[in-house]
Amino acid sequence: MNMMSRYPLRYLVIGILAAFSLLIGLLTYMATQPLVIQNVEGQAADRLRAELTQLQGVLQILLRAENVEGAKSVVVSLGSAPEHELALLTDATSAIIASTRLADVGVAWTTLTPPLDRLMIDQVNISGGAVVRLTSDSQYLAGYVNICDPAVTGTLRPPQCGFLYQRINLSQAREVAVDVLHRQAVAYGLGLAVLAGVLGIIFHRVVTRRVERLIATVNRFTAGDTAARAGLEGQDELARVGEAFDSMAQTIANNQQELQGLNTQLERRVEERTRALQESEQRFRVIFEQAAVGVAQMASRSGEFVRINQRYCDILGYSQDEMLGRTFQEVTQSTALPEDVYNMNRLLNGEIENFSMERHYARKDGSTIWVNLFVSPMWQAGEEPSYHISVMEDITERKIIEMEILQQRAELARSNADLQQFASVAAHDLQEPLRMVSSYTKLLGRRYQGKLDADADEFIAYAVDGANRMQTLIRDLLEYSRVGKGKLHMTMIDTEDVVVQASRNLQSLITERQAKIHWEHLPHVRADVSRLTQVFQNLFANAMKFCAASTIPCITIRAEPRSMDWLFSVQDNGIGMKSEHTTKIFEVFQRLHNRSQYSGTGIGLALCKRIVEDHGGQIWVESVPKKGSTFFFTIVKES
Amino acid sequence: MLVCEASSVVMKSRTVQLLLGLLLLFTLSGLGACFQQPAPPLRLGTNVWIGYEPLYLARDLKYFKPNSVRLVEYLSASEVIRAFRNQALEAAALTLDETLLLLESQVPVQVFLVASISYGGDVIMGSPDIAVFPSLVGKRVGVEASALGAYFLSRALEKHGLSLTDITVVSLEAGEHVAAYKAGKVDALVTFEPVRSQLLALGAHELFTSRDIPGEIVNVLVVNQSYFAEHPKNVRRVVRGWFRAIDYFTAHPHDAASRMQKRLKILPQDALKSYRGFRLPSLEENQKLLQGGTPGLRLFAKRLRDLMLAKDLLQTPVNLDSLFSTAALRKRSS
Repeated sequence: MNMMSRYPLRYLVIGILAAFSLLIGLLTYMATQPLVIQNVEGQAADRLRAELTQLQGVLQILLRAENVEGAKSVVVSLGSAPEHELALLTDATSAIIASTRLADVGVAWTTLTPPLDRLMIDQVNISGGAVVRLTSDSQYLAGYVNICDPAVTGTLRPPQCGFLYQRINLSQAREVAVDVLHRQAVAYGLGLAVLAGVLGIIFHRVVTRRVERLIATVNRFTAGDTAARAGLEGQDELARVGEAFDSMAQTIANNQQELQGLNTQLERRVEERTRALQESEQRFRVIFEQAAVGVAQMASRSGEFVRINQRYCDILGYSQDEMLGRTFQEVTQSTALPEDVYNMNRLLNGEIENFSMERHYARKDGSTIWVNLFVSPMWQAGEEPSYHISVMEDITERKIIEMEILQQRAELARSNADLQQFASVAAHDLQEPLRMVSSYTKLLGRRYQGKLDADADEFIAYAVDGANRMQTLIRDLLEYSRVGKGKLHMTMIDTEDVVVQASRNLQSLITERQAKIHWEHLPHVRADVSRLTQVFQNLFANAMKFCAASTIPCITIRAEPRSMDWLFSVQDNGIGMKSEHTTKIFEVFQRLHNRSQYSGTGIGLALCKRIVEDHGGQIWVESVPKKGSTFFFTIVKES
Repeated sequence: MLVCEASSVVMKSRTVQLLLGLLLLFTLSGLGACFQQPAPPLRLGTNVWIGYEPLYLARDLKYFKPNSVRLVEYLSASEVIRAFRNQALEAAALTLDETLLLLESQVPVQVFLVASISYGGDVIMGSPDIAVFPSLVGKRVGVEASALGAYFLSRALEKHGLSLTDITVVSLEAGEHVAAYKAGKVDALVTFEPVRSQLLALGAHELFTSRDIPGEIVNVLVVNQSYFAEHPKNVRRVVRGWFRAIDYFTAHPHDAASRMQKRLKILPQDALKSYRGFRLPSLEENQKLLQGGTPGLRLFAKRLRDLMLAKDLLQTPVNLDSLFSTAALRKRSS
């Protein structure tokens, strides 16, 4: 079967059918031939028997009438019989009377070659009936009949009583029969061959052509033509195979199309990503190279510089080639190295996520610089440390400025302290002589009132007044310096309590001016309670002082929460001020009015400002002349 | 085929060619068998006459291919004619008048060979008291009631300016000739060998012989026309064997004669003597005689026909147009 499957079906089928027809033809021929020959022999024997019987009668009559010529003529005429070989008639003495071979006439039949069958002749003489038999070589059919059978006696018995011998050649008849058979077999075979051909063609049309079409389609499909379809017609199995293939091909084609779509999408996405990555890489490179700070990528374990930007090199005064391949230990001064190594180990162990340190470096040329170093790992937590990024910023200038500022601040603090010391000392030391001046002036006034002239009294009054103002001034000054010097006691306080306390402190004045103070929903804040009380007290006093005598002072306190702090406001209905004076009023000893109009030392608002600023807040004023002023200040919210 | 591109389906050409070849061989052998139908043998009947012996010589010498030519040995011409008419024979050795008779009986007969030309074999023998031919006037002339006898007699009379009315015709069978002459029943006889020799011995002498009308008394081989058309090969075989036998006869006359002895039961020298009465025409002579031109058999046949019509031996004026054929004389290649 394997060998068979090597050939295309259309040849195989035709071949098998042809072989089949050949075989059938041969078998028919071989099986029928003996029968046909037997039949030929049988028929010839029957014919010969009939002929012999007929001739027996005819010859009996002729010989009885002694018509030998007639008998001869009868025998001779047998010569034209189709299968004739020999016919002869003998007399009782074995001499041949008549023969289809003239040469035999007159001779004894015993001398003939080939010889006649004596046994058959004896049998014929005994039985009187015709004997027909095939010769030993089967080529001839020999027939003997006795002219005078034993029953013929007396006058009926002719004088010449021999036998008639006839020999039929069967070869021709056999040949003809076999030839007919041969032709039948051939015709049969040919008919089958034609049938085979027709079947082959039908098979080719029904199966092979479509199979080839299917194969061609599969090949086309395999070669990449996904549009290839067999499209076989019919309802048979092959058509179903074709349909199955087509539907499979359709599915594959669809899948492929889908896949192609996805692929395209994927490619586009990869392209986009790549481009984004390239851009990012480009950006990164630009940032890396152009960064104002030095950036370096370093191998975390060895400390070797892997990648480094120009700025980093510039900061340390090396070229990139010099830096790459070196370790940070090589460029770090030994004094700073322990701290570096400590931090680095903590980073490698995962104890810290990054570290930053300010330290100084020795540049290549020997000069020293200050840098801010920030180190961040490139590995994720739990991963084996690979690289880290080191960002270095040259902070030498800043460091210098910082140190200068520190120096200046220290000097300022010292001079401030000196100044405060001096103010405090001066005020304190000034009070004693002033008190003596004031006491004795007052004593002078009391004792010599009216005893001197009027001018003297006025002068003494001026002196007393001056001494008093001097005392107030010194007291305020002392207060102011004390504020700047002392420490704040910060506690959570209720601002309403503070306002109440401030009002109470000013009770006599409030009563005198019949002033009204309002507040609403004041918060708790963290502050020094006495200082904050002083702020409100100064602001209330101011409000009542700078108020027309005809006007009843009216003060309103509000507090408004903001993101970081509380905004307090103290609104009055006083004389107000011009906007250009709104900053000046917070300076020490600054007054807008002369002493004759409104008394005061000009210390109060400066003190307020100082206290608010000590609390981390700010103070300012908004004012419309003759309408009133609103003082704002802020207190930081409790975080 | 339509699809050859599928390389996987490579035709194993040798096997397929073998198969196709077998099929073709089978077919051709079958067809060949159809055309090669074995020709039925040509049965050629003769009566016993020495002029036909070259045929038997050829058979004896195995010049005929087996199953191609079969000679049938009849004792008389009438048996031959009967067998031929009954189509028990395909061919026969006949005289021309016998041929015309066959033609009349609608047997499609064709002359393909002139076997012999009578050249002194046919004679008119007269008793010693009839010195010359014209002396026959008023005499009794015995003659076979055959066309040949009538023809020969009429030609002889014609040649000597006589007619049938000038003589008395006595019808006699050939076997009766000698006896009738001896008994004095006839004064002259229209006869032939071997009667001629017997009569010569009895003192009779020749008044007229076939030598006087050369080419007119002939023996021919005829064939059934349809058989000839279907199987010309066997007819040609007869012609070939005939001429080969004549060649053998010429080269070995004694051997040939002794072979004839077996059949004819005559001595070789007598056999050879018998051949003096006629001639065996050659192939070329045959061509001339059988072709349409003059002098040709056509003329003699026409003359014979007319005579036979006049004698009531023929009832219808048979058409002689296709009686003679030279086809068997030609080489097979032509």
